[in-house]
Amino acid sequence: MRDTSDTIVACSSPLGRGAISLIRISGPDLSFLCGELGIKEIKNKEARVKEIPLQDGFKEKCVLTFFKGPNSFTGEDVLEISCHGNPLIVELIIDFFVDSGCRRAGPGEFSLRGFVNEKLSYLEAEAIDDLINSENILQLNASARSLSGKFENKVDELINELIKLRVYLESNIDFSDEEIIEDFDTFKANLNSFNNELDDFIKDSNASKYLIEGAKVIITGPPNVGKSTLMNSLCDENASIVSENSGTTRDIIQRSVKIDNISFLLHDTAGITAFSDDPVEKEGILLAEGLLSDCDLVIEVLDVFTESYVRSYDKPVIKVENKSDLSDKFRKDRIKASFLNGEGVEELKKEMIKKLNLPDMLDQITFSARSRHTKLLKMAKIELALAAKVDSIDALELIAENLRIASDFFGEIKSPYTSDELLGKIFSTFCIGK
Amino acid sequence: MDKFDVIIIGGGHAGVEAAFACARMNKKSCLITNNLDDLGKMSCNPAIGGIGKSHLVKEIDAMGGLMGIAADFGGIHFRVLNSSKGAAVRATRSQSDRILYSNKVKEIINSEHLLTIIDSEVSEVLLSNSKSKGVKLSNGKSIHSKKVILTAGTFLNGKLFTGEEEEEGGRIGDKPSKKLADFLLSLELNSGRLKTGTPPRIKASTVNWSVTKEQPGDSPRPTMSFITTNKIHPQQMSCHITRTNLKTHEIIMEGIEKSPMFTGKIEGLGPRYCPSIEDKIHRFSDKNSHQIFIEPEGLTSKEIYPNGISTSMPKEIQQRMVNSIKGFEHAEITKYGYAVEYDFFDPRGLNHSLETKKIENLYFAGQINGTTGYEEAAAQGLVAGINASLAIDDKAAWIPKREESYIGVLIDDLVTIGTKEPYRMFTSRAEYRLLLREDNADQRLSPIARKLGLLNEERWMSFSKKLEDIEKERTRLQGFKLSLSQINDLNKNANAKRKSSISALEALKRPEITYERLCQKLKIQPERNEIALDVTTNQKYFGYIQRQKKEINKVKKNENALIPEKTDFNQIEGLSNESKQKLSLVKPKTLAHAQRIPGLTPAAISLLLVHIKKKSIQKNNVA
Ligand SMILES: Nc1nc2c(ncn2[C@@H]2O[C@H](COP(=O)(O)OP(=O)(O)OP(=O)(O)O)[C@@H](O)[C@H]2O)c(=O)[nH]1
Ligand SMILES: [Mg+2]
Repeated sequence: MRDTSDTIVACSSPLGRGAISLIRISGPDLSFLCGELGIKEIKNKEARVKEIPLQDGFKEKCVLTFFKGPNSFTGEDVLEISCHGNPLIVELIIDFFVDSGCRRAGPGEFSLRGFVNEKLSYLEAEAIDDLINSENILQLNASARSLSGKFENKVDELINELIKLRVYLESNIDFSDEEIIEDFDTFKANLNSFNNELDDFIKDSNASKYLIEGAKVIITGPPNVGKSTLMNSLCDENASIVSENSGTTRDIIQRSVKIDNISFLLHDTAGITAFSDDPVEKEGILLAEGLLSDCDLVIEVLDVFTESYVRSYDKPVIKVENKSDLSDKFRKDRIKASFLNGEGVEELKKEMIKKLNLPDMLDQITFSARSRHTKLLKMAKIELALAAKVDSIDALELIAENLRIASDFFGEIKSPYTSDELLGKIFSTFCIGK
Repeated sequence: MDKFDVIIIGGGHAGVEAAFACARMNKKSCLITNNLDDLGKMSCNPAIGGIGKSHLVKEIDAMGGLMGIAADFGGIHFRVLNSSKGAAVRATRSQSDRILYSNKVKEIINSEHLLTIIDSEVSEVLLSNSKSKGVKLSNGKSIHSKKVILTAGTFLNGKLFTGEEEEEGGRIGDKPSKKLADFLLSLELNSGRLKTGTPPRIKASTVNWSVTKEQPGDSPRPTMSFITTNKIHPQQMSCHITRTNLKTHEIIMEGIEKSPMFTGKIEGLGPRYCPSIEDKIHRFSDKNSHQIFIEPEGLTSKEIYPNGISTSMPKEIQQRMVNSIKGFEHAEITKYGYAVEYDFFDPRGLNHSLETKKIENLYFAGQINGTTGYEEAAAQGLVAGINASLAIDDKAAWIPKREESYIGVLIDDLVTIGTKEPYRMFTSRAEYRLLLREDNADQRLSPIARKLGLLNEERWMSFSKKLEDIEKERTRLQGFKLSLSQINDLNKNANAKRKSSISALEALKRPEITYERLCQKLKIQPERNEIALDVTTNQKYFGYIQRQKKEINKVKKNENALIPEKTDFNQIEGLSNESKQKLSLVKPKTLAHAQRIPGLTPAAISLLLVHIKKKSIQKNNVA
């Protein structure tokens, strides 16, 4: 990891031509640098126009805005420079500051400073990342709201309620000789209403996760039913090899498609069969099975020739029967399709959106959640559901254990620092200058 | 030549446990107390055990300590608290006859030949180069030793308050060791102030027992120690219950402005969990009545201890308040309640071994570290005694782990978090509560104690026998198969949908199936209680135990991330001053330890990590 004691500089707007580019400088040397530019005194949040002398007498007219630490994004003194959106000009300005003793910032370094100086919570740092990577207005809105603390506030609110529930349990255990006011039935009722609230929150979080990260879909079924054909027709290209031979697909093929503003990350997999002797095919089947436990949605494809194929999934499933062009008989509980000529594909797409169980108004999603968040929320939910099942006041210590673990999961949403790799990962996925 | 290996200053519960541990580890040691009568004295309510505390007592016992045995020899009332709840949170509590209790303590330590007991006052610890060399007595004599364990911290610089009266001193009737207190202050250790209170004592013959509710001890009667039976218990007595009423509250409200807690005379923070009666009435003004346990002080004592009305109000108000309570209408007060404010030293100045960071060879144990309670004191005495002895033999300290014992939780909390109020043990302080039952303290600790040389043969044999019997019982139950209908029989409201039969051992995992009913059904002789309890609980908790073990392994990884001894926390770039201070104070040795320091932000932890990494890279590059 890098130093946090020197002054760093980087371009904070996307590289490339545009109307305006933004260069950001943060660190202890700002008053010195301002002196270099001939600025004697600059006030907090004051913007002023200044010419910066660049190479060979070339001067660029810029707008300089100063933010005094600790009331800035990084917690240090920050100077923001708006210049013309020309990559060459941006480079020259950065060179100017590097020559004056600044260092080029590495990926995520501004956010890191903000985080270290306790200007940003972990969740806010994530929201910034989302904001910058937003691709449409829905995403943009959601991550902006998250940044304003909506998601974190809700998590805090739930944590506080959970604490209240735990207080009841712990005081009943540690002070059983005292008379405690609340009774077990009231506790159970409170626990249940907490669980309902959490369910709603998970639903919203899921939706927002789909909005931000997309949904992970696996296409599965027996060999040779047309899974790869479906994959190709959903993403309009020949991503997967199609052949009349059974066991064609072995590796997992990934493609991303957009349906109604939501990204779907499709995974075409090896057909699942119990009768393969081929070690490579077997390996492919194992990979496919592994994916099943880590996806959001399953598309199970059979064809009209499939005799019987019974599997259960713990994820939402869309069932399809392919090759309807070859037979008049088909199962009633499946989408009838012929991927070769595009039949059933539209219906399938609609179903894919429907199965995500999104709230009616996507633009009302108030935060951006990531799969990291929803995973932890769901894990907490499992614990709380177990706790709700215990019906006897005699097992208070077991209920308490479930609630303890649940609150650890909540805590992990807020500060997932259990190892160093995490920190490295987070801040290096930020692009330069954020 | 040092005259002694270890000198223990103070003969309270920490002191005697420390001395006894040193003696068992074959160290020539010397206990110095300024009053021989005070050895093992219960200076407050003579109760041992209770929730969280009984876990400590059983652990001390499993380590071969003396507290459990003395509590059994002195115990005149035994009860299991939380008895309707699961085994992890059940807790044995006893009332002692204070004379019988301290007699047993004296008997035990007097029979240790390596231990010398001296009746004298210590005025200072001898120091050279920030290392302790022994002690100096107030008569001017010096005694040298390799290690010194200081446990004489009861009510350092104590101030007593009753109403508007104020008096220097420790417990009423105790002479405070002023010289030692002054010496300790001269060491300039971080210190703070705490307060606690006591209720007025009442003459037993003036209580109208007939209107109180009797609470007899449990039957069958539990024991505190693993190696005693309840046959050694002396004659038993009952506790009684009465309550405060609106009249009582009125009287208290009248006097509340004169209570030193409210006049601001007392700065120290008192325990939230054990508030004075005026506090309770002030804070829970909607409650019309509070419970009072009337506890016996001993078989021959003429006083009772009204647990629940600790107070420091003026004497006249105490008297009226007491007389307003049912059963106390004509009660005579023998000693008035008072609040006491005293000094303690920030335990974050200690290593996990309880050696002070500032002065080598000097250990602190007991109330001086900010704890309250005999059990907490004794546990620290044990740890200090063991570690002083180990250090003499050049062996690594014994650092009890949080996942292994309440003793571990206690020590780690003290040296990591410190305390703002008198620290008392609760089960909720232990994150691995389900693993740390009072009934399995021996399984958790006795093997360790054996290795350290703390267990005598008798204890080890009895423990080994218990393990064997548990294993036998598990195998026996494994051998019985229960059919579907048999299981449903045992469980009225169940409809098991299993295809095949399961073993009797497996059946115990079900919450509704008790060991007793199972034995009846199988027509087999039940095993003795402690065996049945262990087998049953391990089945009932099975899934939870597996999970806690997993969690422990996860934490262990960070526990293995060592922070180099010489790390200068002030050098860490980007760290806020507050975080630097916290880290420099606690000097965590592992990353996991640092993570437990309250108020350290995730960012601070990450910076710490980065710093260590950077250092280790630099080191590797040089090498
Ligand atoms: N008649 C007809 N043939 C189809 C249809 N869809 C796919 N096929 C054919 O079925 C064969 C198998 O198609 P794939 O898409 O490779 O099947 P797969 O399920 O990916 O097979 P594996 O990867 O081997 O498991 C190919 O010859 C396709 O042309 C359809 O709707 N109608
Ligand atoms: Mg394929």
